[in-house]
Amino acid sequence: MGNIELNLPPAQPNRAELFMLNISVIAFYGMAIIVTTNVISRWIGRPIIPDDILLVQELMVIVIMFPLALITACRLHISVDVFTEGLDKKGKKILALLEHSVGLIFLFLLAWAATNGMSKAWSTQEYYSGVLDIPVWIGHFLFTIGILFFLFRLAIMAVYDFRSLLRGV
Amino acid sequence: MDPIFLASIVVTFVLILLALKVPIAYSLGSCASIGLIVYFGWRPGSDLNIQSGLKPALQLIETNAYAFVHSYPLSMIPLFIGLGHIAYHADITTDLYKSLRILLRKLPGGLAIASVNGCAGFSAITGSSVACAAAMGRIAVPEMLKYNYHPRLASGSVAAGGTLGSLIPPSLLFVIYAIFTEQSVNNLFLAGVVPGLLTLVGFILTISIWCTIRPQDGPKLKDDIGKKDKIEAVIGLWPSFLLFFVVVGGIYSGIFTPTEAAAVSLAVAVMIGIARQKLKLSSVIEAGKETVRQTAAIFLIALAAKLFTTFISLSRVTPWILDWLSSIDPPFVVVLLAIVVFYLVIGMFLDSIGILVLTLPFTVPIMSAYGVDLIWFGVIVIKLLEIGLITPPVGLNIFVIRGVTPPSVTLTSVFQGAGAFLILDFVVLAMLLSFPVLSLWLPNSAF
Amino acid sequence: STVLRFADYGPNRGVRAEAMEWMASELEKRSDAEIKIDFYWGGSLVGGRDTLTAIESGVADAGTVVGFFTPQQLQAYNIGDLPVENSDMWVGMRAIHDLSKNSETLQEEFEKSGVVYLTNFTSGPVQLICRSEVNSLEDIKNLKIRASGPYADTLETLGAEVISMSQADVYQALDSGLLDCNQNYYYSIDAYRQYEVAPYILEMDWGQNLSFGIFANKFSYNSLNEHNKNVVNETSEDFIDHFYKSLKNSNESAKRKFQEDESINISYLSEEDKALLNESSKLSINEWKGRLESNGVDAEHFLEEYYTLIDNYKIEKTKVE
Ligand code: NA
Ligand code: NA
Repeated sequence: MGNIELNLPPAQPNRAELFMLNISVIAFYGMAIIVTTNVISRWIGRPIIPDDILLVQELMVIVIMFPLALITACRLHISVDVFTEGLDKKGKKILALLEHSVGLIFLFLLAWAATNGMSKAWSTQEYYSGVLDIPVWIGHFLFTIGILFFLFRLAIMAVYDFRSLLRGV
Repeated sequence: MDPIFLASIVVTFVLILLALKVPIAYSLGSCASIGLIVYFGWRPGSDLNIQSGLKPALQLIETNAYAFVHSYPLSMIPLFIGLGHIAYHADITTDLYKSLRILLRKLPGGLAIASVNGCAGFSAITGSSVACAAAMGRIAVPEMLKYNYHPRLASGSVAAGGTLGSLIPPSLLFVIYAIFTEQSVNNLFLAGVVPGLLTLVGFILTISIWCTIRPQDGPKLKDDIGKKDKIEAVIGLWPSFLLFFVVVGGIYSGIFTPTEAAAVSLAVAVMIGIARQKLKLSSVIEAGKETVRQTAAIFLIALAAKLFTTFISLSRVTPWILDWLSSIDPPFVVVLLAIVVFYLVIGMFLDSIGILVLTLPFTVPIMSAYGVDLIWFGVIVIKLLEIGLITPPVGLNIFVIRGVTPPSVTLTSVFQGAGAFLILDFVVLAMLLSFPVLSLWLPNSAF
Repeated sequence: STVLRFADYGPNRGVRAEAMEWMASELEKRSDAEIKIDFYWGGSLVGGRDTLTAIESGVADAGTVVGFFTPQQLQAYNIGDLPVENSDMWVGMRAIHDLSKNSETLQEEFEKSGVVYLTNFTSGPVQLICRSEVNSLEDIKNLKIRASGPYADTLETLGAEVISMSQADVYQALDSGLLDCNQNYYYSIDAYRQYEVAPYILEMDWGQNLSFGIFANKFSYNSLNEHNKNVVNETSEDFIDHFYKSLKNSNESAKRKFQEDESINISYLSEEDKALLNESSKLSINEWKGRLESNGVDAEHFLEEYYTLIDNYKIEKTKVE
């Protein structure tokens, strides 16, 4: 990733992205607290947080999906740069556009799929058997939110890099 | 369209996009998604009908992407990445490497050797190679760089060391293999011990040879060390040792599972940091931010690899290749080598668990037909999967190390660094193939 | 010819896989090679939790559905998992099969989920495998037990401490002592090798998991011609007898193996304990009934239908034997 990062500066994450990063951090420590609390309480007596495995699964969705828009803004996606190290700035900008186009295809399909999955989970009103009977749609909803913000940021980056290519900066 | 033909087009596109520096997740994800739509929409013998392909393809994309993210066992990975960050902010890792540097000052590449051993110890705990690379990458690589280790040696040794995770018991991959082959989990665990240790010794040798040829890559400590410094160095080890013993003790005495160990060790690291007054709330938050950013980047790749695995599974390339192989009825050695090459090639693209459930239904009957000991074959398969974690273009351990280390460590340098260890891996693999007793001696003598 | 994608969450080994392979070869034979099955084992297409959706959307043409994963969509079909007094595998499978084919409640439920019911599996009766000696219900008090569904609820009311855990962790958890016992079935105790780390088996012969069947995609099923539809229906029905015989064999041979192995200890639940177990099971049956009724289903009548089928098949079985 090194070279392109030097050439194409990261974009400034917007407020929503910073907010989502913070939520993701809370979810991350939430997982650690839930598991540790139950390990300790189970060791002493009985686990006190019901459905801990199911809760951790829901939190995993937030931990993984919520920072995706921000890392896209900061150009933190991992790629193979062995074959393209020698390119000049213009060549690298063209590659960045290719990157965004391929990313947009993937993210568009993923967002479409996620939206379908969310509405299906809502319409069936399915839930995870347990003490809390956690509705399935919650996790799918969070998943979709993460992807939509990711897609939105990717589109902004594509426009931004395309303009800068046209300007020939 | 013929699924095999479709699969070869999709694989070609992935390779081209990867070479053009398109992020790994985008390359795998877009090709897999389009491949799925074409697969469902263009049945052999009919015309392309995108409309009819969309519903199942989108459903499958959503189902498998979501199921991958919505996972309890994988929570181990962010939690271990977080452990690395907390240990760093709490000065646990800094103290550890300061001490190790003094204690191992006479050993060329001493810190790299210590790190590889740390990986082995970590493997004995987690049973997951990727989790192991995630934590050790964050802990060990920056410290080695600080002491002027070459980025290739620093990152390569940890990327390779991380692959010990599934060979040294306990190991999730062995459990899955056992279920698919009806073999004893205990015996598989025992069978992994000698090959695991053999690999470890080999890695240590690799580092020693590397640092003998290029001493500047793993510099020794030149200054004279007083007795006081040595005593301080030994004392400086306590936080790391405390952490290690809480985790190992907790797992082996049945207080928590290996999956839970990730969360518990994070909590213990925070408590050690607070007790030593080295950890502030602001650094806990900072550690959390670094953790989730890196987790997201790594999981996006793994998620895309999962979709790609699903596509490959649907295309039935695996049974097609293996059917063809058994149809020509070659001698056993040829079959075995072909299967080894086969695992190495798909190990370049797919994730380990995906490979196991995808291939075992087809490779195991072939091996059984030749009367092969399935415990031995299990060790070979797991070793091959471990090798796949550090081979280009898709080497998950390499991406993980790249994801959790400073930008000065480029992906290329991690691959190059791991390359040296890859050579050793092939030597060990050749030994395991030639001398089944290396794997089978321990399980057979256990009864 | 039609090639059907079949999704299963389990390995391609063991008694269930063999029965499915048998079904595939029968379908091919009886349809003059017009129906072929491609199996996707080990969740290599979709995981167990997502199989119902995958069948509905056409990702898979058929697959193994575990009702436990969809307590809402297959609420009525979850009747099969209730700990009713019915631990005979043949009777259980026959009863749930007939119920699934004929009861209006289930037909509506499957129609709504967009799937066609083909045939049924069973887990066989529930047993307990433990690290230390367990001989009675008294002994399970305060033990850490991994169990699921209504069986977990019942064990909890009997004083056990039910722990949820992913299947991948169970072997090691039994080994380390994190778990004292695991709810399991004879053939699967053998397949998962849990006896290596937990050598005490308590034979409870308690209920069975019957919310566990093979379903097909509606469109794929309807695309078959009349002859092939009949082939599928008949083979599905024969599947039950075939699966029953091989499951019975493998349960018996697993049990024989455990009996011959001196390091493994099997104990049996007393009659009083069995009565207590069935009494305690009523709580979770009533809970399920309540949920069904709140969705406007006449649960009492539906359950009556099921009990009648069980009783009829019990009589039929004694006649056959
Ligand atoms: Na391990
Ligand atoms: Na690889």
